[in-house]
Amino acid sequence: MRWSRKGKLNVHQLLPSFSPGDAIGNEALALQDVFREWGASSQIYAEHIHPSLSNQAKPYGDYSGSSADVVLFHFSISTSLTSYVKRFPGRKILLYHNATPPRFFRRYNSPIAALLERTREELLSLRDDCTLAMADSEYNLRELEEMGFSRTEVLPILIDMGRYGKSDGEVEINLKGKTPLFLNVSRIVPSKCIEDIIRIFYYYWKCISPEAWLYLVGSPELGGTYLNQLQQLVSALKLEHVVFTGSVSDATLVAYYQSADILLAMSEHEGFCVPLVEAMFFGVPIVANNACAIPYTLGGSGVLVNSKSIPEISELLHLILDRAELRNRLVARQKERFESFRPVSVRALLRKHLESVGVAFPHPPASR
Amino acid sequence: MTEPEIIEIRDTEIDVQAIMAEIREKIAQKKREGIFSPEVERGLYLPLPSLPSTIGEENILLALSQKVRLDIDLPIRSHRRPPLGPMIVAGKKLLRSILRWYFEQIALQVESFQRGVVEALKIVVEGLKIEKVRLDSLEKKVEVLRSEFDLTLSRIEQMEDKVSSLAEKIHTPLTEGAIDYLEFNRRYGGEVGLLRRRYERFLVYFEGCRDVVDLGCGQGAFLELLRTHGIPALGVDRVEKMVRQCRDQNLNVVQAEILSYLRVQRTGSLGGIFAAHLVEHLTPSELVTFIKLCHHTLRPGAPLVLISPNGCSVFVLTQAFYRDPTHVKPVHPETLAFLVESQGFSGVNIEYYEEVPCDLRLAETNEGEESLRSALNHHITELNRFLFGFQDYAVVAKR
Repeated sequence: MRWSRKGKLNVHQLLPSFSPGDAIGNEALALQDVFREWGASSQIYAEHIHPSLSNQAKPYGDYSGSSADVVLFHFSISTSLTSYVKRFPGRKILLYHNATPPRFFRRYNSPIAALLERTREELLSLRDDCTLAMADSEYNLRELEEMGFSRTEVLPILIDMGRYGKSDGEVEINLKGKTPLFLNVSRIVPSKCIEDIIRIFYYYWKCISPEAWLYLVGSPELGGTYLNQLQQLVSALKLEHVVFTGSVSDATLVAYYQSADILLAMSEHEGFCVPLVEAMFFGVPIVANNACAIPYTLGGSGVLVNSKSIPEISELLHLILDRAELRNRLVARQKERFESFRPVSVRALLRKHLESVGVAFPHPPASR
Repeated sequence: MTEPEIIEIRDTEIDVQAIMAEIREKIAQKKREGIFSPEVERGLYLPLPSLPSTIGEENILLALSQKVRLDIDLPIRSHRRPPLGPMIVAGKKLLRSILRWYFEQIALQVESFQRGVVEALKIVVEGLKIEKVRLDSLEKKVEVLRSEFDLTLSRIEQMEDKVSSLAEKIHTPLTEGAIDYLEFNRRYGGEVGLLRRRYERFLVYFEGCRDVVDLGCGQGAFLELLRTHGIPALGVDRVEKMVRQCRDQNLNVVQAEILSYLRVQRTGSLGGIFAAHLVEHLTPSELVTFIKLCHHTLRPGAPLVLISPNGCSVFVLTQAFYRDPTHVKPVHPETLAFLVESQGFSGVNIEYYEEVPCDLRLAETNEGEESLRSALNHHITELNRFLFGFQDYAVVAKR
């Protein structure tokens, strides 16, 4: 199916996987709205499309590119889309989200680990084909530059804040009185090091307050094997008040953020880490591991953990909860940092980057 | 290069070192009280359970062994209609019965080969199972070793902390509690009236201030001055006798370690800090912490006055500084000014005061030829500066 119409600018997006709750998929939808608002025709094409989203994206085989088109290729893992994009005659713009190091998956899922092994090599093969390579963090940008990509820019993930407009009242009622409530929002995969969060909570629960709750929000992957290990650890520690919620709706997620006292992220690998921005938005203090893109996304706000010394981190959580002054200061700095991720800022940056490589949109940017 | 602190907060308003000191104290206390017990500590190092086997080799082998036998009696059918269909089927059946002896031989050979392959696979799988058990036990051992290693490492870190705190104690020759410091101070530190006259010059910085603290207030010389001028203030000293003497004069004083006192003050809660002859009693790392805490607890614009013996004067070093066995080391005026400035104070200034009495200094000469006399007197002035420089200095700054 051919989408390009004469005289009409087409800016389409290609991504390996399009599934609900996924940060890249959410960004693709937000970008699609922006491109359409700016007067371009925009479609999402993917290799794997979750059935619940089949009306919002098309199989990539349906797209036969035209040399007048612009294609935005979201890259995070080895995919057959790469060779397809390389053959594509129009302007190719890379959006690099970083790839999880394969070591985290080798023991769980060797096919995914094998794909991840090939990822960097595949990324390198795109180096001379792209008009522009954008990275969603300074950390990712450095990787691109180390690989020799010549035209690079940072574009933070465009987050549609409208998704956070409504909270699930029932969930809120259920969370009432559960305090302190520590929150982690991430896919349940080994690179997120959720066992460290459980250990931090274990010390808190044992040595500070048995009233505390830990909510681990995110969909379990790898056939639930890692989730199963985490659940076994929780029961070996005889821990109560630890809740694995699985994948949740936007409204439920809002309820969790509104009830959370601190967002904990002990991940060893992040290309951007959207939950940090969400926590900034909801005014939840952040304590996060100083790894990969995390310090770049925090941009001087929040608390960084340089060494996973469990008792010290747990006591720090208590101190943040106990000292209103410290907590307010952290939240205030996070609010300042959030300004850089406001859609209006990211949209302006996107427009600037695209115009710098000659992509001219018919409509001017809206003032919002 | 120094090891980074466990946590990092990129905000000059937040004193991470003070936070970490408080956290470490809490953990140590919980250990002492048995709340952070060895059992809880073991829990912290509990590894993730091992991954279940995902090979499923038993099922694969079972399925294979069921397929070893070849079925040569496959159904013979024809899609042709009668009478041709049944005739074709009968023909095929005849052909099969004629060739059966031949196919049976081939089938037996294939079956025998397949059986051999399955048996060989069983041996390989058994071997793999043994290796897997060995690997699992090795992995467990590695996990145990890792947790023991982590535990040992954390113990080493704790010991390092203890060693460095002991080392600091070794550097401190004596604490004030070990001698009658009030008496020592009365005899060699100058009587209260003299001190009041010396400190009068610093009153100007505290005009109109509230919540002023005199850290290491001693016999209360400056506190009295403040009271006389209607400036509300509190004295802090760790020497009980000093505190008692101040209270006898109805001065408002608490007995506390200076750093501990500052650590529990809220951010920006103090309206001014005066500390005379305190910094030379601190180790270098305590000094840095002290200035950080001053910055943390003072409100913006509040004055800071730190007085110390002038170590640039040989007379001061030999006749005053080393007389006091509780002094750690002289603090160079420029070093103190630098530390104060680098912690974020503004308007930092060094004021030298209290000259050595004239009769102790080298006297200039009026004798000899003019040129010789002038050169000699120039050297005498320089020597006086070096040997008999000002006795005290103050670093004055604003938060």
